[in-house]
Amino acid sequence: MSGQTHVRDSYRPPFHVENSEETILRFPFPFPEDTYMYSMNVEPHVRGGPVEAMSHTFDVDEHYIGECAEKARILAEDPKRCMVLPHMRDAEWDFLELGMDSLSSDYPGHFTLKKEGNDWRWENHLLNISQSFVFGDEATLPQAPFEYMARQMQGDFTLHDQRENDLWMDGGMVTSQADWSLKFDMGMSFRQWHAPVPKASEMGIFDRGLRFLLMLQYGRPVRRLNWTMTINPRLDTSPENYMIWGEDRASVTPENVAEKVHLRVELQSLYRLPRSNAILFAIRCYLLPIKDIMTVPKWRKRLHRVLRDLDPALASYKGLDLYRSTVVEFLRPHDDGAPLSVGIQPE
Amino acid sequence: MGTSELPYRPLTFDPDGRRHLFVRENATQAFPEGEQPAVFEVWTIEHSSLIKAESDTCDVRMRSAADLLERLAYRLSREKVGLRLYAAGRPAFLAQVAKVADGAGLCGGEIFLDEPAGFERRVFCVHCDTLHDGVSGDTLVCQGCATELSVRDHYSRALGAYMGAGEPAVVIEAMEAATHG
Repeated sequence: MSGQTHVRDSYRPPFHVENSEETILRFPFPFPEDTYMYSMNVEPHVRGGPVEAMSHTFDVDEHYIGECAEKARILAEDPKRCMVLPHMRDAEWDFLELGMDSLSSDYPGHFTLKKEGNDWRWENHLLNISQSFVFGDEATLPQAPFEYMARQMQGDFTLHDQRENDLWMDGGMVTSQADWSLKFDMGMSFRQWHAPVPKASEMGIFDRGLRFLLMLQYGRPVRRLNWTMTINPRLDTSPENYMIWGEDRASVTPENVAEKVHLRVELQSLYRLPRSNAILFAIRCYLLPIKDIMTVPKWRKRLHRVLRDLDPALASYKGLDLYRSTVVEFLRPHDDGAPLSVGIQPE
Repeated sequence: MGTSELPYRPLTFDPDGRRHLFVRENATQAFPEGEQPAVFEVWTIEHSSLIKAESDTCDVRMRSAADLLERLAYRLSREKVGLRLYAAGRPAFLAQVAKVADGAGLCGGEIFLDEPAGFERRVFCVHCDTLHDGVSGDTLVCQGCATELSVRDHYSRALGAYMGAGEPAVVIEAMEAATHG
């Protein structure tokens, strides 16, 4: 990412988020084919991959400072966006260690970690944070370890305890979610928190997904992409604030569609944590407006085909009903119907 | 669609249990079906302040739901493996029993909830956290933030409540306009 020292993005009115050409091309476009239906689409989270956003454990991009500032604002407005049950303390330290280890080794220019036994020193040069602390001693950090680290990372994080052959949502920090509520879903099992999703349950996807995740091994994280669409570059599309952002869905016109409608992609990665045996679920949100997708011929053609042929139940669940046809009509003249390569890479 | 709702089903004694405790909101609720264990405890709410809970009997009377739930939490915190807990009553009572049982660490195979008596539900306003008891329909006006809430089929055991969420007026109008052409 390029150097950046101040907040320049605004994820609430007046909106102001701009993507460089580099950011557009590293976007994790979610459609490897011209049609879309749910699938597990899980692959090892290894370096490399079809787009640059997948080349680090936790991706840091040009919106890092802006997203961390927006996260801090949301947490100040609504402290229940961060909740961790007391029995997840080991998982909190696991998470902090994973975050600090991977950020400092992936981005040594931005993050530094020095360890002498349990005496650690962390430096976050992008947010001007320096902190000496004792690993395992919560009193030496300004916040609980999970909250401390999650505030310094883009995206949402949830912690899942494994017991009774199930995964339980027993902690998280959730400020950039696609319409689900941490405070409501806290303590839920894997199937319980997925209950509102249509079709996937009948397809057996959650049963297979759960079986797979129960066997997830330490050091072998996995990833998948999920998507929806968001009007205006809002990170916070929570149920809590739906009465505020929901109105945006009725505001799309043929004139503003390219600016207003964003493809919202979650790069989800899952990690077994070593001490707690918990699972960390990282949900990193990327927002790319139609106008930026238009600059990549393969992506604009494919997006047109996927949206045009999308299952109506899925479209409704994702909240696309009021503007999907406007987007499809806008994209249609820019799709010549030519065959496109399989895979999500820009070309 | 999957479900996050409580797993209700008609009660039957579980032969794998070593101790059995049946809690009910009302004396009219029948015992579980199936072969009755030689010994099982029944806790019944009498809705009366004249009651004194006799602890050396298998037929214990409680003054109120609050009384029963407090005693249940105390009892479960001292239980060992082998207990089977059965509960019958209205949805709000079953939700509270499930919450106490979850708090005590009971597993899915250790607690059984009867088909609830009545349809009243507890609803949590996702916008302002206000809880509403005894909601009988699919919509309500939130007493905390005045939002017109729809009750979603999403249930939280930890809150013992269904999610209530609003819909902005402009979205409702636009959806109706789209539907009617």
